Amino acid sequence: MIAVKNLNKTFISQKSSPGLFGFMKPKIEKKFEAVKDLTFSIQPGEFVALLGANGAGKTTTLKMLTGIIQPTSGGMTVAGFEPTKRQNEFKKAISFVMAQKSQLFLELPVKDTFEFISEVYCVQNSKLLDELIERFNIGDKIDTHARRLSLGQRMKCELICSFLYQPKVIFLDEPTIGLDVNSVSEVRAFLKETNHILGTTIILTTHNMDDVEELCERTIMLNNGTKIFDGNTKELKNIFGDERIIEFIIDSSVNLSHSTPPIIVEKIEGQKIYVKTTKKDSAAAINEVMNHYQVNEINFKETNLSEVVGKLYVQ
Amino acid sequence: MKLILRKQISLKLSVNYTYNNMKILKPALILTKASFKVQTRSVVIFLLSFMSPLCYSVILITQIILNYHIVKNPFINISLEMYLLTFFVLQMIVFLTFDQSQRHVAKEILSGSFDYILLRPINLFYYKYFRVPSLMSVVMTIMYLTAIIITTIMYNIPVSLVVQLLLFVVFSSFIIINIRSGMRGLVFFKRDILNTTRVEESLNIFVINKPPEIFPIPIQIILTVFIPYIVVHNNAFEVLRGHGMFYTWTLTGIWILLAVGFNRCVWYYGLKRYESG
Repeated sequence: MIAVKNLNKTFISQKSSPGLFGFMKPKIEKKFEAVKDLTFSIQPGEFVALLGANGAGKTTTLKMLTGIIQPTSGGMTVAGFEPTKRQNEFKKAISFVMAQKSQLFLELPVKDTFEFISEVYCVQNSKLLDELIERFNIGDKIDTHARRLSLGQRMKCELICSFLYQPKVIFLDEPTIGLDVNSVSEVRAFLKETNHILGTTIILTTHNMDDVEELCERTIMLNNGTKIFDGNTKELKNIFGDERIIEFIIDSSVNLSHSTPPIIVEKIEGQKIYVKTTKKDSAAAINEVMNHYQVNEINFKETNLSEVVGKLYVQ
Repeated sequence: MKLILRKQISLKLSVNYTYNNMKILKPALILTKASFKVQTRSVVIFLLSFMSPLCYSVILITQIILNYHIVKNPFINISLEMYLLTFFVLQMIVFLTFDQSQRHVAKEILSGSFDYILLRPINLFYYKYFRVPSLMSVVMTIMYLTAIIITTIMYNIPVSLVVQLLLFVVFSSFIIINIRSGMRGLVFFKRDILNTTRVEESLNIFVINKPPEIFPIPIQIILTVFIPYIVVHNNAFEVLRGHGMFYTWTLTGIWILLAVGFNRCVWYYGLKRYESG
């Protein structure tokens, strides 16, 4: 469905020299490589997370895949089209939801935007809109001006706009940002359902790792515009999240100062010892502590995806 | 005695009257003064909104003077009704230009929602034109159309001439739209958002002490007001005179092609720049 080969994007910015006659002096040119030699492919029906720290090149990649901006070099096809040509058939095959930007006409009731989208994309199935409105439970809001909607309601409307013409590929740029718990779970359930039932290919960028863990089987991770990981989301966690912390609550006061595997004492708080170990060495670590102390309770703390990703960003 | 009393009463009444009125007038004056202070800038802004008609009148008068001195054709064919009709027709053209659309596109570019427009399967060039038809344009067009009809009836101007003039309005508005849009687009994509707004608004920003980073104001006025008006103005007179119709319409056609071509080039140049980030 999506094939990207050696994709590059370099932004060139020009800055005038300061001062009254600064414009007369030669401009200072700055180059910034947002995406470097990116190659990957995505099969139809996949739900892929595109992760990375701020400025890693996620949104730039999505913008290139949707044809909004042109790449500096490299090739790509999306749904059988070249995004750079921006053919109308291509535009009908894709959809892009950007949480930070709205596609709704803010000065009009949302119903008008739905009508506009239906007209522009020649939507024949009028029942689909009703179904989507019912699915998101916003029937009483469609006559409200988009400006007056809450963030959650607006995001639901944005999603309706994007799914109304049933595109083959959907790009989502942080769709759950700023949403409350209920709205997040509603959006997630809808995305999961669409991906499973309609087989829509979905590419998601987010900083919310719960979204990734719940929705995406595959993760592509970018760092400074370069791909640093491409594989199963669980695999990502296993490779980089092998470490675990074991909390021991013991009877007596603690006098343990290991700093070699299988036990590395992370910290000691009163009668609590936090030991850092790996999955493989967990049993040995527990034995070692139990040999020295009377242990009342043992708690395991697994590294979650956020921590894994956080570590990767730092690296 | 009676007279003195009457005078006293009269004086008292007059004082009372003045005092009572002062009670109303003084606060009213204070309010007006305060309001005027607050509104000073608005007044300037309001006056600046007459920029277009003012520029047009300058062009018109200059043309009449030039006609007199250079062509040595002292008002032979420029009668009052011709002057009025030309004025109304050109004002109508100005208000047909859907300035709002360009400003909306500029706003969309700034807010980032323009990305969504790029994703829609529509012709972006025409979308830019007709994004938001201006209500003001509609009202003013109706007003000037009424003025044209009244002038036609008043001076017994042949209907065929009026029809030609109205046709001329449609074609000329096309020229003006494209020249102004192209000029603004060029400045916008090259320099700064403020330049896409109307010249008057750029001046407003100047008035409220926020100097915009733009081309000097006189150049802006020349680019977006004088040049487009000069282009279509001469043709309006030619249509009214009824001389050289073939020449006039050919010239109009050439100008349409040039203006549309210029505007399209600027638009796609800007689009390419936007796509390159």
